[in-house]
Amino acid sequence: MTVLLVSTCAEPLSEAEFVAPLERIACDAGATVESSRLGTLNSVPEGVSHILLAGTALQDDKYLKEIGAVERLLETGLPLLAVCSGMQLLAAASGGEIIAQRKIGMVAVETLAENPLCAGRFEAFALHRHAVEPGARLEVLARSKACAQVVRHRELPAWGVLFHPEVRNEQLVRSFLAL
Amino acid sequence: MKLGLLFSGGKDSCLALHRAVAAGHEVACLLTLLPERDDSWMFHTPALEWTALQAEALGIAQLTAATPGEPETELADMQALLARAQRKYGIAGVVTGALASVYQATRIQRACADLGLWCFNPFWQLPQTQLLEMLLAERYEVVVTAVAADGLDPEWLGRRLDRAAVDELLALADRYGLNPAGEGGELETLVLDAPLFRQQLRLVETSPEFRAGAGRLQIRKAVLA
Repeated sequence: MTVLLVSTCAEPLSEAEFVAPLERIACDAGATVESSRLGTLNSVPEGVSHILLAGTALQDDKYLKEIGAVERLLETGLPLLAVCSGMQLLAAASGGEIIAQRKIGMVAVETLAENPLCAGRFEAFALHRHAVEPGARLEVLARSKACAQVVRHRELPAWGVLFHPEVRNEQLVRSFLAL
Repeated sequence: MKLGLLFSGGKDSCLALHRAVAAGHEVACLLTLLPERDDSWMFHTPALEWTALQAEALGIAQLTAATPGEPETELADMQALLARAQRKYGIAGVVTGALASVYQATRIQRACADLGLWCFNPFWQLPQTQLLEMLLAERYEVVVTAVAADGLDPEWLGRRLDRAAVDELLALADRYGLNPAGEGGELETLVLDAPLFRQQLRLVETSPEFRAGAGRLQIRKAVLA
């Protein structure tokens, strides 16, 4: 398994916080990890089996300009898990909308449809200033009171998670890598 | 970016300082809350009076604020301290040594977000073993100033975190399930020397105090050397 781990961080110091924890989970799952940044990603290297798109700091909004780069990731047809800012871009690239909504801290999430990434009710760590209106091409698999938390593309193997699974929900990332 | 460092004088905040500077940021000030209670919910308390000496050793300005140490006033007090740093030093963000506490991270993130400050936590979710290894690899001189856990007896007070001590902590973690870097409040530390220190601290007069399974090192006198 080779994971392409893509950063959405404008500040490299944020990568220790939002990218490195995903890298540790992938490495512990036995993956080889190739790291990249969304803004400078030209093509997906040969041999990549999964793509992880990581989140970023609350004050960071430069990623909002990178919808085209996520469209190119989707065109590869590879399994994609997009976290927080990544899920926002996934929604924007799939006909949905990014909306202003702040949440910082633990939230209760309820699974709506059976899926391989999450089940039942659980607590998750949210850290965002934007959420999504998913649009017709994304199915909402789990939500909190306020908004969609886990989505799946209806035609592509692409998944979005608004909360940060690398905090207290690492199993979700491992389940994605096992797909 | 100009940053303020949430500074307790312990290993995590000193490592965070180093990471921020290594990433090209300017750390304009150290921000220290001084709880008036001993059992602060959020902020590490022992040896805090010696952070002023560390600030001098680092050549970085320090802003402090007293807080009664109640869970919610402590948050407002921290936010007021961040706002002061914003006005006085024009910081655009804050860097912390937060590792795993969602409670602590949530509150710091909220305080920063309310003020429009960036928030950097370069050790977030880092395994504690790796943090201890960093201290050894980067030759930090760290002394244990408080203990509160099974397996951490009075001999730990004043002990340096060297290879042998770290190995013992890892063994105790296996045996008692304690957090080897003290993330659950099992131990507190004071950094005497680290890569950005221009001078080192020397503890001149200390006395361990231990009762009911917990203790702290009272530091009565320390100097720069």
